[in-house]
Amino acid sequence: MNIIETHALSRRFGRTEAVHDLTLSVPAGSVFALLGPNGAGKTTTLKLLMNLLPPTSGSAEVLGVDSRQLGEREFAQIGYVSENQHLPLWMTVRQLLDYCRPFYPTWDRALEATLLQQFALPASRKLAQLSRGMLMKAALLSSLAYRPKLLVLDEPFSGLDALVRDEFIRGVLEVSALGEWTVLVSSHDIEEVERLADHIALLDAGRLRLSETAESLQRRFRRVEVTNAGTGAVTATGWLEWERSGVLTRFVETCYEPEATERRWQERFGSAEVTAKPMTLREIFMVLARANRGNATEASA
Amino acid sequence: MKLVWHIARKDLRRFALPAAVWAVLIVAPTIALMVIEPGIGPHPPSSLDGWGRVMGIWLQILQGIQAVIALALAAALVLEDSVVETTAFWPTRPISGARLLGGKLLAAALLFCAAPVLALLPVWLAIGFDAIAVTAAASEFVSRFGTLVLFAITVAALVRNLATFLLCAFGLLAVYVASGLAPRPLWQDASMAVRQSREFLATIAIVPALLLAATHQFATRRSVRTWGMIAVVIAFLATVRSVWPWTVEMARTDSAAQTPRAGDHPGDVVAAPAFTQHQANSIPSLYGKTVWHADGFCVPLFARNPAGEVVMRSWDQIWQRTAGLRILGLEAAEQPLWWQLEAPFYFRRVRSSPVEFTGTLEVWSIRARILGETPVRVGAKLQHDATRVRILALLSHESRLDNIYLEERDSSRNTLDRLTVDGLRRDSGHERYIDAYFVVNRATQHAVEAWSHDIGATEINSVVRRFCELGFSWPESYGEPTLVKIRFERDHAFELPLEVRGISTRGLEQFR
Repeated sequence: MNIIETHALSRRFGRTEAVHDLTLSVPAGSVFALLGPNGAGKTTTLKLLMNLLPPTSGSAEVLGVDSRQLGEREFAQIGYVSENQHLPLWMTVRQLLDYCRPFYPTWDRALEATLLQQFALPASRKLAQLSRGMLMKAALLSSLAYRPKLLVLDEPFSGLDALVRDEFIRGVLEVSALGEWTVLVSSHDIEEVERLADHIALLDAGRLRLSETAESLQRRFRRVEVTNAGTGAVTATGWLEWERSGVLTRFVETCYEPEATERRWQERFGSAEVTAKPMTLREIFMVLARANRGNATEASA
Repeated sequence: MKLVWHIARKDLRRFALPAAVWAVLIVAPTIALMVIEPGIGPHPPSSLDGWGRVMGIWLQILQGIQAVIALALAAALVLEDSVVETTAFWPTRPISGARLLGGKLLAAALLFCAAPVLALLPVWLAIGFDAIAVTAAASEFVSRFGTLVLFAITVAALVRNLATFLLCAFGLLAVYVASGLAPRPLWQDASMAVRQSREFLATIAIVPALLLAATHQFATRRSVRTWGMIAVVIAFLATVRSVWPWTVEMARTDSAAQTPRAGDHPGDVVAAPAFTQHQANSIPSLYGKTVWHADGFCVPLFARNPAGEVVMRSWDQIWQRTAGLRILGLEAAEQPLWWQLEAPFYFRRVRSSPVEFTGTLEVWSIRARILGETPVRVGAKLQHDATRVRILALLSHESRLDNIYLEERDSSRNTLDRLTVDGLRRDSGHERYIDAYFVVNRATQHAVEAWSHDIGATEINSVVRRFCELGFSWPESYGEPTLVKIRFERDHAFELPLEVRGISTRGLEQFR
């Protein structure tokens, strides 16, 4: 079951197409990372999903409801934290929670107290006086205490130092263990979410480049080194960043399947020595980002 | 409703301080108007007039500032939870647009209407306002600022920040004013009743139109469509103000006149069979007489043309002197009361044009009563209803007292009801009484009517402070004078047909 589905979702701002023909599914219970460089259309996508912006064309369903029709009942089950959201900074943390609480029938006072303690938030301090990390934690707390079915985090780590980011991620991981919710998190840096995400979607220039589980992604990407491959070997479909240096040929295999791929390499490289190493999500993300940039440059040329 | 109040309570906490400062700005000038005393020099009329003008300018500036601050605060109240910003906090929370609007309207009503009215209440009560005057003052305040705040809420729901709000708000106000001025040439052909109907419709349409636009914007956040709605409303208002052809009875402010009642004695009112001519190029005066009754008498106060416009009015109410003396018990009720209607200076006629028209006389059924009396000395006071009168200065010449300078503190509602000789044109339709002052010594049986001239009036928040000059001649030999205020109050009014066929030079003589 998918908690979010989009169908050819598009959004234009004048002549700029921020999101183009986006068809995406976010499975229930997943931690779904929407990745992409700055300006890729991640925030616009989340705003379309949260009905903060109307789509130019296409549609989206969130919790089974058309995003344009999202109402009080649906938002009572959605938690939204964004780096750009204007919080009522004149309130104290306690006042923010007191203000939010009556809107949610499922608000859990015990969970609120637990999170307040876990996040080490000073309840009587005004939001304006909190550090950026603390502010994001306060926003997260006000979005978690009612056990939402869907938690949407828009660039939650932006501007946070490594320590605070780690605390924040730990916070999300900890609360993930407390309930069954779906997390949709956008980020421009895979490193921020690789500990969290089990699904990855890559957005670039408003277009969806890939969307699959992190496991599948890591399974099909390999960094390959071939020694003494011979001079005849050239790049093939599914290989990225192919390069040759002396007797050493390197490339990234994007369609790795243990037996089939290795058989294909043997046919190609003969008796040459081939080593294939698994890649981290960050490495995969960087490879894909470079490839997309290269494609864009070629297209514009 | 509980959540609406929850949202409103959040805004009340947020805006309590600025709204309190604004309320102080509302109350302080009202108190200032009451407590600052004018300096009276050797020529009281110019001193009082100068004081009134300076105070009036300051109060107008302050009222402008009050309005701008109210606009800005109401806008800030909405921008706190911006309707158009995609980074606002509330749209991703279970808060519907309608509920948010409810919360904002409730908070605005409490902050910008209820709180200042409560702050003004002690001032109004201290001045002597009764329940009716307080209700009228509160209604006037709420309708004025309520409309302004609703306008601010609507516009603020369409913009992203305060600077854009101010630009749009003043732009829209300018367009609204222009939509009223542009069709002015088309007014010339319409009767007074139709013109009043147009303004009435344009006025009563504003609040529902603003509410509709605000509700649409909060519920849908589709700004382009809401701007379209506002444009349609402005076009509608301009059209109504230009071409609406019918009379709406509710809109007529001059509809007080009805048919005579059973005890009215319309036959008491007798007009001279023709005009007398004072100036060849003016519409001359109309004279007549009526019968005095102690419990109420009928006097024509206005003559109207067939279009319903007042073309003549009672300038020099000669019947007042007689009626006043009879109320005071200083004159026997033998003679009839004489009355005279005159055309204002702006109704000039071409010398050669005939004075012939049919119209109506608006006759008031009047009850007279003494409001109060006070010895004639500086500082003496007289109080009735919500009005407080104080003698500021006396002017004597040789051994004769010639002038009394008065201050009257009153409610604007009461002032609207007052028909004065100084008023050039009667077009409010609210008037229901005429006040007259008499200088009296009952022991010596002397009494003179004082002509009254308003030196100036200053008003803020329904509180009026005006200065009057009373003129008369009271020789020392008449004894110690007392100032008596008499009110000629309209019980009801009715119309009698009037037919003018030409000019006579015989005037009142023809009755004698």
